[in-house]
Amino acid sequence: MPDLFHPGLIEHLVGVTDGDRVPVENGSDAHWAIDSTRRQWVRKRETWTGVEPLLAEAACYLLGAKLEVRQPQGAVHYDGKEWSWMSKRIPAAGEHWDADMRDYIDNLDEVGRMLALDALTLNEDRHARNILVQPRDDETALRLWAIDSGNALIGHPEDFVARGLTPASPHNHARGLPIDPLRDSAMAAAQVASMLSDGELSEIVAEACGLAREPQVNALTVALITRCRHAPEIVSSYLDALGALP
Amino acid sequence: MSASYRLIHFSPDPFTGARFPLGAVVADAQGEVRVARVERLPSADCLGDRRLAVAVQRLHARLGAVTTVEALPAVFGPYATLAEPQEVPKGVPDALAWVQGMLAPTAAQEAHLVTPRSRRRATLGYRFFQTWGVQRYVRKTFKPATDWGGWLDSYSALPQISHWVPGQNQVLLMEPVVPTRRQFEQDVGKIAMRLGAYRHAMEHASNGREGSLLAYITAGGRPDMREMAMEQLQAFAHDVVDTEDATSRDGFIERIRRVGGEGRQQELIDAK
Repeated sequence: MPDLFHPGLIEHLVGVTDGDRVPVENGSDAHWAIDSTRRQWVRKRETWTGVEPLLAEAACYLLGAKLEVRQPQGAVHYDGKEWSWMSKRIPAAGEHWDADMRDYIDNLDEVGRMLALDALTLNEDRHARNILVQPRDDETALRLWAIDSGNALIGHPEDFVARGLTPASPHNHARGLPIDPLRDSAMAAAQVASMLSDGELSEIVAEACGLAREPQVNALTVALITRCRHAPEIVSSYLDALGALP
Repeated sequence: MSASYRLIHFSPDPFTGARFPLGAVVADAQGEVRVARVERLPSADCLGDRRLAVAVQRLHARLGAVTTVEALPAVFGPYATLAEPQEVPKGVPDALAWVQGMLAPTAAQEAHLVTPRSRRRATLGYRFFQTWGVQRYVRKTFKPATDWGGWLDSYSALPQISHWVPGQNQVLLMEPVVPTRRQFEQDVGKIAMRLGAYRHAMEHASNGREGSLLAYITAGGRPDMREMAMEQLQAFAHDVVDTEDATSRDGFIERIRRVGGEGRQQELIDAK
């Protein structure tokens, strides 16, 4: 196991067996996997995805947990040759986002927080397939899950640092989310992000960079802290851009 | 070219191999693509999880969006799969009917299956008000004989209206139009008749109060179907609101707030 990564914040799975490929287009060659406790996961191997998505997934997952975003439990697995990012399988999540679900979202607060997370981590890949939809006990009560943050720019430290305080581009974003009703919770999450301590954010970056063997820990830490300190402006701009989408 | 089909399965657990068909996409000998659906679905008891039963039902309702044998629409999640293509036997005159017959359950399976159900149009429509934060102004089911002080009590034979907002001197009577419902076209016809009946009654109810008939089209559905509903209902409603259009939607929400706010103020005055 590489020395750089000492799992602390993210669970390290053992005894994982692969299943079939997850039958989703552009699914980054994800496979179903099962661990020794019979928990089921979606595995993305570093060989298939590259190392940047490992960093991005880990950072987004840890920051998302601080912001209370609805996202699958994350974990990592090392099989002796390579790392994999593991997302716990979400049962009964039969659909991806579609604009016709607009009025049936049961967790608007959590979806708003997801937008804040995306704005801060420069996740410009929140298209419809990266929002998984799980019904509650009724067809009019749908719980949305944020999945697949592997393309967030935070996984590319140089690019992330270079972007400074610029908001994320909304152009690839899933259409049809009700932005106005999400605004309050997104801005509340921005406030939470702005008050996270330097220590908390440093810990997130250190863990994610350790997993990805990324040496630019300090630069990425400073960039994330800076964005979080300006979270209200960044998130507000992002929401405006999303609201203006056709 | 011979006719072929691909079964559309739902596999709720990738490690047990359990799966069952939702339907099939069928390409006939001329290449025309149509969808065969199972008529009954596994019950929540059979699946062991109410959420799974709802997920299955929602995907089943989306089968109409399958237009190619190559792939499922993007909205289909990771538990829906297309099986390998199979040929329909030569000599079968109607490939779709043949596949449909194959999907019919056996008598033994029937006990574990239920007919797909959908929530009422009014229930689906009310979620719009909840999402946009105006539900406190909106009441369910306008009864002409008694509601809003019996404003239309001379027309008590009128059918009920799904939602209403009582104001001080005006009332909003609102019918949801839900394009994702399978019976959407029939819905539009029924709503047109209902609004038309009210419009006649309201023009003859000379008691100084004012009502507005509104149809609001919720999100989703095909653009041409939404357009059809707009055109048909404009002759009967005072206003037809396309809630996918931000300007129309914002105006509608603001109107509900304004009228509903006046009504609540009046209620407070009356209560003193």
